[in-house]
Amino acid sequence: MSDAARAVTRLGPTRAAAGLGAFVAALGLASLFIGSYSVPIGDLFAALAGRGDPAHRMLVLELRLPRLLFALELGAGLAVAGAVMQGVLRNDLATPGLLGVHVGGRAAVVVTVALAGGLLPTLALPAASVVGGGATLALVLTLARRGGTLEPQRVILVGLAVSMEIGSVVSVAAMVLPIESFDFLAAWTSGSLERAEPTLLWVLLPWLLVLIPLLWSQSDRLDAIALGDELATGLGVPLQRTRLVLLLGATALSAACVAVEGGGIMFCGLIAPHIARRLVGPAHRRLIPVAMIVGMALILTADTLARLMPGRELPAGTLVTLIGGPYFLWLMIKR
Amino acid sequence: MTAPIDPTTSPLRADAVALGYDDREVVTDLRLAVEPGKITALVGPNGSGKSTILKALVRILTPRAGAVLLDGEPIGARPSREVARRIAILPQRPTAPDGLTVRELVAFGRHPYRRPLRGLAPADHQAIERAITRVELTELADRPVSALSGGQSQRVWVAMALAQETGILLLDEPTNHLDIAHQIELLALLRRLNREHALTVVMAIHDLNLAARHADRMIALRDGRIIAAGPPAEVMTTDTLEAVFGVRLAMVPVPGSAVPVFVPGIEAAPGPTALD
Repeated sequence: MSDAARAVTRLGPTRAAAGLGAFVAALGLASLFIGSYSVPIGDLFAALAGRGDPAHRMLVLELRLPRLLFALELGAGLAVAGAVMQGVLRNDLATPGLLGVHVGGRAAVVVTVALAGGLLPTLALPAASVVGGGATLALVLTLARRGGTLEPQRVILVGLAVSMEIGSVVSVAAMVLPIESFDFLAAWTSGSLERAEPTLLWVLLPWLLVLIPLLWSQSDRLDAIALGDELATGLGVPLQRTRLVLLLGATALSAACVAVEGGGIMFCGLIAPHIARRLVGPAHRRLIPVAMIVGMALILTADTLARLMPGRELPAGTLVTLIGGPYFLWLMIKR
Repeated sequence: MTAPIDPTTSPLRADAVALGYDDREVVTDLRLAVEPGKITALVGPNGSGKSTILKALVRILTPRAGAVLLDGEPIGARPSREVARRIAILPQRPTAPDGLTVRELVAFGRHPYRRPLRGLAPADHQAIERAITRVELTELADRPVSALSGGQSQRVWVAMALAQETGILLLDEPTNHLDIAHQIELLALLRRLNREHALTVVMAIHDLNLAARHADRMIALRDGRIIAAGPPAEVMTTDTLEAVFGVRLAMVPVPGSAVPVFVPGIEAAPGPTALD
């Protein structure tokens, strides 16, 4: 599509957000019905109101509703983190997942679980993940830096290399864990929402409530950064400080999500901002909220489809990767 | 060498500034005062420090020694937004994000006046429209920037800088990659903005003859030092240019102008054109 055509076909931000919001709401409601056991609609509403058949109530309130809320939280967090990181590094492939934040966060959680065992409060998981993810990102950016600049392809390659290395170290470390922990990790790192613990919903929520508005408030600066370091400085952006805040914020946001989903939903941070950019253009004030809703829709769709698969249930992360892999490849080839 | 300008009247000056990247020093002991209300051209060979000086003047680059002073205060100590309301810069070959229209790009110039997540205020809209009118792009305001010609898109960037409503505009090689007609058009535009709105302009520019025609003052640099500074008629001499560029150029008088043009050729064909 030519730029001219894109500028014309770009949706109004309100319409895009409203359409996506309606889609998410409908799919969210549908996801409460869908699964190996279907709940009649009357019973569903009764269960949501806290009445009706106790079995249905348990299924809806304790299994399906938390899962729906997880999908929404993760989609929002991962997509916003992706949009911000792409913006601050001016690189449409530079998402936390591809720069090692996910695998670094996962490694830190594995180490914490291995050391602390069952004593660990779930509250500490996102914090551990943020430390691991942040350290990994710092390592990747330091290694990728050459002559004071971050060359886009180099950042991605270094990110992949570091991710692979840390990933294999985690695999080796996981072998020495007791078998129950190993099972937990296997399910956790595949990005399945099936066994996500409802308490983690509350653990993750404050991270989202603080970081998403904080990052969104930097939209104008992200827009200026898109013009290059010189123009951004010329337009009055305190570049070093802003870059640090944005990188830390995006890293923390995505690493906190990793603590819940295990780092398996890698491509949400890549795909959702791309789709949002196509819908409402590059201005972050609109891009960030729309990417957030796209991310919610993406993970919700993946998780709902995962439940419809015949046989054993597929993790949502695997489905996102199934779509995300070719999309990533296409982006690489198109460059 | 000190440029002969009363530094107390200069809004922007470099005081014994040294600049460099990593372990390489590019500019040494630079003393320069930007003359208010004038067009100043920085000329010199590649690597002579033109772009580096512009970067320091707008605090993209921090001096290793000395200080850049904006209204007498070190520029690095002033809040970023405040500096951005006083000085605008147009770097070499800026790139616009995909799909932006002319008006959207010009709106970026309002960044130093905006509050987070607020839309554009009426004053912002007025400044944007004024800037678009001044560069004569009113009819193209809703077109995507990527659909414009090189000359037009360069004017969009100038409009963005104008929307910043600064008294000082720095430009790094603004005529690069433009054909001769568009080069002249752009420099004429800068002259008009300078005359009508008292805009102070400092530009790094490669083309000597063009610079001499459109600047009030030239600063000739070599290896990060000022070799000569003054009105074009003083700087544009065969000897000075040889000291700056290391080649002897042939001087050709221009009828009706005090400033001659210089062309290559004296070494290849020494002869009666060598006037100096």
